[in-house]
Amino acid sequence: MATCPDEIVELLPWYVNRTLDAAARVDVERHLRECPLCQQRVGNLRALQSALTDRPQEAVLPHVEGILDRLAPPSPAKPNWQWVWMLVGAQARVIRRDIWSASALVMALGTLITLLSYGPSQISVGALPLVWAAPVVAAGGVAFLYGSSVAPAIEIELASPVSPRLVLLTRLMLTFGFDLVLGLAGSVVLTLVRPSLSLWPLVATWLAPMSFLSSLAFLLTVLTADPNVGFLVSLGLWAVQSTAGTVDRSGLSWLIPDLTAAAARPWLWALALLLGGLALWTGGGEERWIRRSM
Amino acid sequence: MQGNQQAIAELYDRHAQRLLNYLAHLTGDADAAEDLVQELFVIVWRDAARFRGQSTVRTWLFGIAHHLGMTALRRKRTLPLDESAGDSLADPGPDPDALAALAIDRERLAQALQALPAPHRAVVELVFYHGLAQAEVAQILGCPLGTVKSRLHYALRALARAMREQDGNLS
Repeated sequence: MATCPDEIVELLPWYVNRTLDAAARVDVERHLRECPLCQQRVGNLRALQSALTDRPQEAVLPHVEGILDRLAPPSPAKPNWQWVWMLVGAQARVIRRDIWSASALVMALGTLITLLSYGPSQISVGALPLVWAAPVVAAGGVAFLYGSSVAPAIEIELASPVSPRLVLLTRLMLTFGFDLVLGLAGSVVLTLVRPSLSLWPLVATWLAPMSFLSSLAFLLTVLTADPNVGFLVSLGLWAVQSTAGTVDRSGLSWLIPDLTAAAARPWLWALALLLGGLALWTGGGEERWIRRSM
Repeated sequence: MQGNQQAIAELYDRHAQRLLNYLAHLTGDADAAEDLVQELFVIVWRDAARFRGQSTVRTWLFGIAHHLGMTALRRKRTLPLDESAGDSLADPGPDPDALAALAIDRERLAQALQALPAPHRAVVELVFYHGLAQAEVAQILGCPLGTVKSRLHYALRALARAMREQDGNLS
């Protein structure tokens, strides 16, 4: 008995219930081949397991209707702010943590590079690094809001009185809102340090493309169930914009419109609302489809 | 969309029987266990948004069941308020290997299980009856893995001793 390693003896109950991972199971089996005492222990634990699992059922499962009767329909009368806060808190924990840090890092870098590179010769707000960083950061974050990687709790979500679309909308608002705050903070810093920049024109320049690109990334992720598609397509689109910005647009304007231009903003807002709404509608339906297949 | 009773019915079909068994064995009261299962699913319906996705649905449900079961036992004043109180019990004696010498009589086993401190009984049930992995048991009980192992060690020793004593009393 003294020769049996404690760490092996401690694992025997989980060896018996077959939940050890492969490496631990191999270690236990290697020891068992050489140790009659532990073989006996395993036999004893299996006898205990058998005696426990063979017990007769004493309790009677209550009929599900008895429980459903106790489930009051959720009241739509007035918003319960504690409940809203709970929903937001729960979804904030579901969203991948690296989205927050990566977004903050890229946006901070965009602001810093803008600060360092901005000078009197800068004529176009649309060419500022922050204006290019904000839409990509938001699209990247939003693209990774949907799919099995952020819905480990799908079974619970479906059983809750919360609409899947409301859950998606909460995640969307959280991520987009976070990036919006980051963009605003960067813009405020820029206008404080470089008084020649005006806050609202700067914000308007990145906010419309950011909304459009985020909605596009979200819709593509929902449609393909692959966050990489949503992110890479929106990134590619923005890269084409960036490249087009370095060449003479006069011949390309009909092919690659300038999404940072003031004239494009109404279209971008409208498209953002349309694509975002479509993504939410489709995404909620998709989750119902998952439930039917469970 | 309003609350989805169909979804909770599916959740119930999938997990309720195992949760009922766990609660019946933990509390030793089949009637109370039925009430607790109903209470559990009402909680799931009401508080699903609190699910953090850091564990499986089964582990989350068992965690709620464990909490409800322990609360019910405390209400009956059969359990100290501090759930870890049983962790400092003196070593109950015989090695778990002593189980070897005993043919396991179900009735005596049931009595021996009910004589265990509830947190120790919970570990035995979760490991041997419900077949849960180490990490799942630790999550359900809300304690470190080391505590799970020590509770199981003490529980097995206490079971062996209790059954040996019963054996001696009978002979």
